[in-house]
Parts: sequence; structure tokens; C-alpha cells
Amino acid sequence: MKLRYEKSVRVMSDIMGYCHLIGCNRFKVDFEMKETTTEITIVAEVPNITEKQLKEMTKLLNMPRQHEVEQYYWNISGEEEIDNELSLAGMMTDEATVDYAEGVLTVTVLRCEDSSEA
Amino acid sequence: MQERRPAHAHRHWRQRLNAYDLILISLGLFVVAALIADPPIAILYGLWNIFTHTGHLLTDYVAVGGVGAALINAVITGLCGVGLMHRSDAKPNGAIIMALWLTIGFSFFGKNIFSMAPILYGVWLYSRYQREPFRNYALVALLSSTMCPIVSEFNYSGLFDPLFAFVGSGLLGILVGFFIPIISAATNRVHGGYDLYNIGFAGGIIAMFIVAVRNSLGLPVAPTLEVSDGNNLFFAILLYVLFAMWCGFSLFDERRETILPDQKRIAGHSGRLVTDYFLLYKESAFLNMGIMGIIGTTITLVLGAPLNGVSIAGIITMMGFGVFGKHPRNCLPVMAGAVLFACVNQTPLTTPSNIAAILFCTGLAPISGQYGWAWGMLAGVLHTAIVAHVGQVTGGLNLYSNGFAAGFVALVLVPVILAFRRGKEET
Repeated sequence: MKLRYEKSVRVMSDIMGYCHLIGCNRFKVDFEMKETTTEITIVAEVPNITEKQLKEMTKLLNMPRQHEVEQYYWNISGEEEIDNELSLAGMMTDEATVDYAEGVLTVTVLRCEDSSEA
Repeated sequence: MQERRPAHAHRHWRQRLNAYDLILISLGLFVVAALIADPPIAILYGLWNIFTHTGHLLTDYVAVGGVGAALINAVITGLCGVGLMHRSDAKPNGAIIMALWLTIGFSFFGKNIFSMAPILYGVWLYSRYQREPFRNYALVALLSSTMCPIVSEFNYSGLFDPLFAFVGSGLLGILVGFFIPIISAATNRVHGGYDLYNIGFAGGIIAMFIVAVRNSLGLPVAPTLEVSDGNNLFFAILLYVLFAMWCGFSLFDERRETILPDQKRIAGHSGRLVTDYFLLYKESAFLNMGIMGIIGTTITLVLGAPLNGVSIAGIITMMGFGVFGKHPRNCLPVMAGAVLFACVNQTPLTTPSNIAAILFCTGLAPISGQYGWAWGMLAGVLHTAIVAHVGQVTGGLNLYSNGFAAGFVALVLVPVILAFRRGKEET
């Protein structure tokens, strides 16, 4: 998979942008690239998040991986200043978990590298 | 011992049909309509005319080959598109459904399988070069057919020796197909996702270079204008039946009670790239597709414009993007701006360029969806003003010339809007 680092950074930026939009100003990020996977964990302090927002975030980040959409549109992701719906981040990741407890939002996403090379 | 039945055997026949099957059913409707419109011999003769035409803007395949041949041309490209997606194991999503309909729509207006083939091969070569599965490039491969006239115009312009023209056009198509994934990925950042027709923006830049080189060599692209008229009743019936079918396909969603609430949710999105209504709302999104098609057809007819290859491509494009960013709330303000400007500019309201601008300006719908109807209307005005000029720069070699124009509008307008908003927030 080409541009592995760049794409993973865009996913991270997209999620951080979304967290910022819902009121977070302090993040802790764990970014780990392994041989075939990239795991990103973002811990964000969010004073108030509604149940609806949590459900929406979980749904969007758990969208099925869309390799062809990623290939064409990945450059758009990470534009956190404006409208951010997390759809693209969801399409660029294989697994996602979203937890919220005591004002702390923890988002973990996993990107698996495409093994079906030509 | 009880025999085990496959999992799909428990599913209702409606749930066994996927989006590709529904597109194939729609193409079946086109075949029936073609056979009603013209006898098979006339269709074959018309197809020959279409395949051997330059096909650059503005070439209406209904005028070139007749109603039946234009419909069958759309069926052939549609079948190839669906086949390509199956072969590359690309599962249906909003982007692919949109790209398939875009391809089908533009088969009335410049695309055919012979002009597409070298470009698709170029994209495939690029995927091999990158050592990635073609599936990853399936979407951009479909969209890259915006450059079809690069191939057909070179081959049939009459400027070159026939053998050189045939070989040269193929090589040029392969070259463009090889580079378009790189350029189109880069242009996304220019407009930040506010031009839904990004590939049109990338294609416009490529076409601009090619036209510049050809002009320098004294081989300019001759402008063309071939449009049909007089088929409004036939095409109106066909299109309304098609859109009614897609409204009906939304009933294939298991969660029928959510179909109408989902339309409200769809209307709540800005539509900025990448917003995939099919992944978010499943078959419910097909109702939005049908509605978008009905709006496009009705506005064309109300304005008194002909339903021909140009307007049908615009209408079907609106329908296709009904699953990938467009909805009535973000499209109508942009269209209103385009209609307003078309009423006051120097060309009559129903000229093909005005009608194309009114239908295709909806590529800027995310501006309206994100920043409100007033900015949306301004986007429509600017788009209609600029589109005729950028068409000249690309020599009609980029089919999605409205995407090229929309890219410039988004590039200028979005930073201005953001600056005003920031200024407002600071005061």
C-alpha cells in the first residue's frame, strides 16, 4: 500500500478535527505503524458529548473499508476546519472502537494494509 | 437429516438484488425503449456513426446516431462498467453507483466503449505499476472516461493519416489513463471537496495542456455543435419511468419505516466530498436519486429546453449524485442562481450551454449545503458565467467541462466565504 504514513496521518487528523468540533481542546495520541497494520488511539477530553453524537461517531468510523474511494479521495481527508463528518476516515479504516467515560473520549482505529497486491 | 439451505435462500428476492442488478434492470428499460424508437438496422447504423464520430463537446449522440443508437450506446457502456466493477471485485457503494450513472449519462454525449477502452487500459497499467489491485483504481477508471474525446477526436478529426490516427489516439488514451489517477488525486485538495466533479477539474487541466500543444503545432481542435430536438415526449416518458423505478427501489430497504426519515437526514448533509448516502442509508438513498432525476427533468421541461443528449447527461448525472452528495436542499439554490444568470446573459435561456450549466452546476451543491442558499445561488451565477469560457480552453476534449468550471468557482468562492465567516466570528 502506497502513501501508508500520509493516509494514516489524514485519518488521525480527521478524527482529531471531529473531536475539536465537538468541544475538545486537549488530545493524547498514540500512533503505531506495524508491518501490516497501523493503529491509532486518540484520547480526548470532551466535557459534553451526547449519546446521539457517540452513536453517530461509532457508526461512521465503522463503515466498511472502501479501497477504491480511499485511493481517489484520501487527499480530501484531514480538512478539519470545515464540515467534518468522519465518513472518509471510516472508509479508510478496518476496525474502530469508541468509548466515553468521565469526560474522556477514547477512539481507536485500525488500518490493515491491502494484502491483495497485483 | 434436514438439508442445509444456503443463507441467501431465506432472503426475499428483493434483498438478493444488489445495486448492480438494479442498474442492469434500468439498462433493460433502455433496450426496450431503443427497440420502440428505432428498428435494429437503424440502431446498428447509428452505432457505427457514434463510434466513428469525434465526440467532443458539444456532440449529442442522439443527433449523431438517433434515439435508439444513443440508448444502446448507453447500455453497452453501462454493461461494460458493471462488468468491470464485478471483475475487479468492487462492491457497490455510493461513489461507484454515481460513477456508473455518470458513465451511462455521458454515453448520450461523447462516451463510447471504443474511446473509453484505451483510457481504462492506461489506468490498469498504472495500477500494475503501483503493484496495487485494480479494484483500488476501479472508481477512478470509470470516472476517467471524461477524457474520451481525447481518443475519438484524435482518431476521427481527419487531421492525421488513418493508421497514425488509430495508433496515436490509442497511445494518447493510454497515456492519459496512466496519469489521471495521479492528477485527479491532487486536484481534490484544490477545491477541498466542494466540487463534486473533481475528475472534470483534473480532466480539464489535462485537456488544456493537450490543446495548448496541438495549437502550438498548428493542429487545433475544431469546435463542433450537434444537438438534437423534437424527442421531448419520448425521453420524458422514459426518464420519468426510470426515476419512478429508482424511487420504487428504495422499498427494497428492509427498514421501510426509515425511508422517509432518511430523506430528512440526507437533506441534513452538506454533500461535501465524501458523503456516501448509500453506505449511510442503504436503499433509502435510491428515493433521493429518483427525486433528483425528477427535479432535473421537470426543470428542463419547464424552461422549455429540449430533452437531448446534453440535457439527458445532466439529468442522469443529477440522479447518480443523488446517492453521493446531492439532494434537493443543496441543489435547488445553485440551480436558481444558474437560471437567473442564464436569463440575463447574452445567449438564449434554452441554448445547450445554458441548459448544461443549469443542470451541471449542481456539482457545487456542497457550497449551498454547507454555507447556505445565498452562497449557493452565487455559486450558480459564477458557474454559469465561467463555464462557457473554460470550455474554449479545453477545446471540448474534457466531457465534464462543468467540473472544470466548478473547480475554479469553489477555489475562489470557498476561501472568500471562510474569510467572511472568520471576520464575523471575530467581531
